[in-house]
Amino acid sequence: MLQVSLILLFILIGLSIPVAAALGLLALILDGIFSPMPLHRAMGDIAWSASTEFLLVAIPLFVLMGEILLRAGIADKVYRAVSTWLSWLPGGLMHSNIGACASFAAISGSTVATAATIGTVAIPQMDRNRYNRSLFLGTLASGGTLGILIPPSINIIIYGALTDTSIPELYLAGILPGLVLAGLFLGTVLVACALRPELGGKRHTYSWTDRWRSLIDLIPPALIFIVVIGSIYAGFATPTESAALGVLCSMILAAAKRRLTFEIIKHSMEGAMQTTAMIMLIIVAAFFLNLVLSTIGLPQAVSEFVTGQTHSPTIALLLIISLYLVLGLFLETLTLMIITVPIIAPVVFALGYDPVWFGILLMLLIETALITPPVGLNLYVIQGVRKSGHVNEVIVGALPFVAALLVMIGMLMVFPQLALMLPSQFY
Amino acid sequence: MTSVQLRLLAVSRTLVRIAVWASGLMIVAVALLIGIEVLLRKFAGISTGGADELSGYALAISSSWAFGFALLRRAHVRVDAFHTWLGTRARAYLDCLSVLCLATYGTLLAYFGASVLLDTIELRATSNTTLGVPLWIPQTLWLGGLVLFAAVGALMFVLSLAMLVRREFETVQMLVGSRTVSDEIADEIEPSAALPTESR
Repeated sequence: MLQVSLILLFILIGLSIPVAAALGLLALILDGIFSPMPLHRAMGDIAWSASTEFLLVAIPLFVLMGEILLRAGIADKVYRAVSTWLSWLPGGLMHSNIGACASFAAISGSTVATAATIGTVAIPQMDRNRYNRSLFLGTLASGGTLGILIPPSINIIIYGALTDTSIPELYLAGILPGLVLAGLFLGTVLVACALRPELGGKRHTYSWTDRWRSLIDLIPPALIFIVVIGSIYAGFATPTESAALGVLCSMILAAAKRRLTFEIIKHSMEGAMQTTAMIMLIIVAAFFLNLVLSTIGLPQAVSEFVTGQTHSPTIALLLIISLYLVLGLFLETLTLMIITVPIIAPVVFALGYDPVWFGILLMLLIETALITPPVGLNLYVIQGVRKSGHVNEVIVGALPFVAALLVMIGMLMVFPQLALMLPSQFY
Repeated sequence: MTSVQLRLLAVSRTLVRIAVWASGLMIVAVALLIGIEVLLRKFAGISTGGADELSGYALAISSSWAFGFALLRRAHVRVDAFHTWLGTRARAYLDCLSVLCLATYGTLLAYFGASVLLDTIELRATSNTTLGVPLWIPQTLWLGGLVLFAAVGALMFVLSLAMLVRREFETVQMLVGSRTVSDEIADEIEPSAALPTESR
């Protein structure tokens, strides 16, 4: 059963059939072969109940919020404000890239939006200030991945929906690892520039007056973060409700910047619905596949297989991590997450690991997948933004940050408290 | 492509565009509705209730209405790690197969969706909440989106098959090919997005 399912899955995915259709058809085929009772009749009911799930309403709302903020013209201000604080360091604006990505991650739930927004602002500075292109682009590609670790995060919502894990706890759990990882990225740039000073371009030192004055520009994103995340922990909004407040704030902000035009609303809505439709079609299929898989007992089979290989939970977990690192080379990350979580997560929980902790670990693995070739979306996003040169420059530049991510994954395994400390204070 | 085929394509583009704007407006309305409910609850102590249920329906309806748009924009994710190594011709065959699978899946969803609606009508089911919404209303709208998606999928399959038979592989790619990264970027950064010229 396990072999048949995996082979079918790889054939369907390998033929580059759209993932939603591949999962839906796989579910129907497995149902036909293995299920003791016909489950296909439940497909309609599952499609309806999955797509009316209140938690998932957060997805279009966060996507819409991101689309509006992307066009609200706040990225350049955020970038400049962060620069006044960080660009005196060896490595100059490369620190600003990471810092600005981390700040934008706090108001955006997606890595593509984060990387593209900050990349658009930062890349014109690259040659002007004579930075090493590779490393400069690498900071942007990897900084962008912070978008799914630092809350709000669309991937965390999908993980929470698939595994029935509390989103507020997951959000809290992501904050500290997000900051530590941003720190590791900054450290990577410092080390690189200490070893080879020619990598860093022109450094700017700003006066303290400039620095304090620039903080004004960080107020709008800070307000949005406080509204979206604060409303959850102040206890008056659920994650979905906070997303709705976030949309309203971003519209007010865009209006204040005189950017809330018909064109922008139209593009934001189209972009948001395109992404939502793409995600929801896969989620509907994944929920149905989940039912089929659990009925035919596939998660148990995988669990027995893994525990049959080793008795040590740590080794089992290391195997799972390596599996993700390898799959992450080839699979687009939403696909990676949705096809593996229903099968792998129960195994990890059965080994005694915390669902919240594993959620954060999974985000780190996805971040790694986003910047490892040949399929690493963020690499291509950054390449697409700059529109010249070869993508290999971005790939090479991102490699040091892959190392930083692996260090972070190791740290999270050794110190699970990094993720679990904040949630345990609240829950 | 023949004029009839172009005509069909144009009609379906218009239809899905109308549907996607309606669904986008629905999500904006959801944001307003939920936002107002939360603020009333927090600051005026009034709990209206019901926004969660209505927004659930809005999600189902708006996403099903946007499925067709995503299909025409070739936005339904495919894993093309191996696909990209193939030649134009082999790729065109796979693209055609892909849209066939998507159309089949859409048709099945619409078929099973219809049976959900028929059950609802037969049982005169209403939602189990204070609103007591007659479920046939949201479910009919939802099914409409699924049918549109299935129909657009079928049309795209027929068109791409016709192009395949005529060996117009480039056109197949244009119709149903895998989305390239430049498409992806073009979406994120159209002229109205963050303007790089404004940075300093």
